[in-house]
Amino acid sequence: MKIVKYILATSLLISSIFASAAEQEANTLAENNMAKGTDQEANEWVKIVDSYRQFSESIKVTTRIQVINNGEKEKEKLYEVYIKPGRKSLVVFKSSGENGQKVLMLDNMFWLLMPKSPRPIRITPLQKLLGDATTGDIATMSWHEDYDAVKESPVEIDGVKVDSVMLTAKVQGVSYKSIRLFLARESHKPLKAEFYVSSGKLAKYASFVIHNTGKREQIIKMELTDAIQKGRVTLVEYLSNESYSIDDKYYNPQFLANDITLKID
Amino acid sequence: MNTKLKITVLSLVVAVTSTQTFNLQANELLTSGNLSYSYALQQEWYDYNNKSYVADLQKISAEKQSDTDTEILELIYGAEHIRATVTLKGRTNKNSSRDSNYDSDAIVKQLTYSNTVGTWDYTIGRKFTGFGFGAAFRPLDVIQNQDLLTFDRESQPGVDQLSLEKFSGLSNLGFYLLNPTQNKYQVGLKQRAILTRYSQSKENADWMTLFRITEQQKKQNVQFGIGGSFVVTEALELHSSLLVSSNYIKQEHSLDGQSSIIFAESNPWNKVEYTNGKTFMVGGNWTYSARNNIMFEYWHDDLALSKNQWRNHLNLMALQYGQLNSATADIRTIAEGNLAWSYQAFGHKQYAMQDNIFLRWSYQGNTLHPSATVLYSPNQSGSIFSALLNIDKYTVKFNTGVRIFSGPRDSVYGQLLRSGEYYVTAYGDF
Repeated sequence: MKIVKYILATSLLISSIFASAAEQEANTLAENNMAKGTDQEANEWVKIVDSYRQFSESIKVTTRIQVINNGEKEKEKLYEVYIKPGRKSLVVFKSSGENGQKVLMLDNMFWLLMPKSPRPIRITPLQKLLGDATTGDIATMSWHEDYDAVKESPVEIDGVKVDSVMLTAKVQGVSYKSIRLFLARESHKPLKAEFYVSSGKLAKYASFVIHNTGKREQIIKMELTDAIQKGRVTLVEYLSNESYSIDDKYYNPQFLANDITLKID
Repeated sequence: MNTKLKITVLSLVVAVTSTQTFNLQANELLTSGNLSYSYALQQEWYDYNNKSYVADLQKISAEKQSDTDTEILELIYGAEHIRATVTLKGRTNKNSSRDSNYDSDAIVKQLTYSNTVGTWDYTIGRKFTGFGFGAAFRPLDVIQNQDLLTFDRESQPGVDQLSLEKFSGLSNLGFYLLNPTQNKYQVGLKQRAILTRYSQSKENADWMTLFRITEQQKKQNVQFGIGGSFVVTEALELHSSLLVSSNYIKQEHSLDGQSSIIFAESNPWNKVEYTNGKTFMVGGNWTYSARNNIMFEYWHDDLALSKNQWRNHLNLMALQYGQLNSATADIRTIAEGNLAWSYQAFGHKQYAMQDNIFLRWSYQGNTLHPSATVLYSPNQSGSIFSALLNIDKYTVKFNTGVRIFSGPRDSVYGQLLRSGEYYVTAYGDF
């Protein structure tokens, strides 16, 4: 009898252990699914945010950068950016002193092309970041290809409750290790952003100006405030943004170097 | 209209637009067609080295300039198939012992017709062609290695050629017929050659290989080169190149290595042929903070002066220099003439010795971009030091710098005619 009781007790214990493990597994799965679901939703929101800057897969954007230091305009630069799917960007510098200079970005590969030199120069991701308005600020128009998004708790900005999404770099060579995005709750319009460098330090924070062009709503201005150099603001203005595709040859660094009087149009 | 006037009129047009704050509409108007232009105005000053054996020669003293003013206007035309670059350059040389004189030049540096046949691109005409990896010295830049010592902000002159190239993905295969109309005795930029090159870019590296055949002194020179640039980490890039030449030519003084005869009766420089020349370079680029960058390179070039060649030549110059105080006027005149010939050694390979170390530091400020470079000759303890400052605040950019040549008296850099160069440039591209 004792033996029967022992067997029953052991069976109960074992089954309860299995049941507990199964329950735990089910709970974990449910949590994962929930987390996955949240991530998917956050990533979808980022795609919506991206559509406010890049409405088509291949685009040409004319961008003006103004650097304001303590309220005084320090300099102004003009760029043309040609973007294609697959993280392909070609930035053509149009301002005096650097007219004809180009930066080619293919995935996490970067080249600098100087106007009076027929050779492409391979540069490191950190070299790309040298300078005040980093090339990444100008050339990157979509975050969903470069970052993984996770929803955070909603926050209140200027008395309005907004969604918050944390983006973490999933590829190498991006300008910022992570970005915190604040979005309008219904439309998921981008409102503000915080940019963090690899050390985890807040480097810049941004606000966006969205304008209805008649065809669609799009970001026409991004104001980047430097969190490290106080009083320094970079205004990124998108002067034109059109659906445009250039030949794949222009994304070959040797071809670009060859054609130093780039004539895309 | 003479060239000086043309440059000045065009300069005025540039100056009027340049002094305005950057204006998109104005810029679009000026570049709406296929034409763009750049303009540079530059002032240079020089210090001379009184330790050089040639410092006091009458002939060379007459050529010493206290400073120069240079204006460079470059017009660049780019249409679908036609590319052209024309440089108008005017230079006023101010000489301490003579009146100022003005030289001007108009050069078509590039004029090409390009088109495609199937998947191939072809180009006919004069074109800039640059290959290779590195900053200070590029062994694979076999067609037109750039002059690193010039301050002038202008394009390099192109080379007449017929090229056929295929660009596919991130690779490039090219065939080049260079200077086809020149005779086989031409050297340098006008040297006749055939060349083929293949280059490819990968995730962490660019690499290329080339094969060139030229004719030198009735012999064929075959060159093979290979090189690459490797992105090692987010902050570090390394590059390296090797060029092997079946034979090569050096300018050598016929009296070098002798002690009994120190004077030549005619130009003593001869072209001497060597075989199996090697040129290699290793270097890198390290970005060590958000704004600081260091570049480093070491290279060896068989085509430059060897330690022994320089020592022999320096001994000859010292002996010739010793005769400048001779009591006989004829000997003094001969010594002067021979020293002037001896000085031609400095005209080759930008004064460099066979082994060189190059270091460059640069800082990317908000509006100020300072940099400093040192080219050091480890065999001689001689160096060229440069400090530059680029001001990026206005539509017109400013660039200023100083270059100091220093070294013991028995080094190449200690014997150069100039000991210092200073310059200020204002320029704009539109």
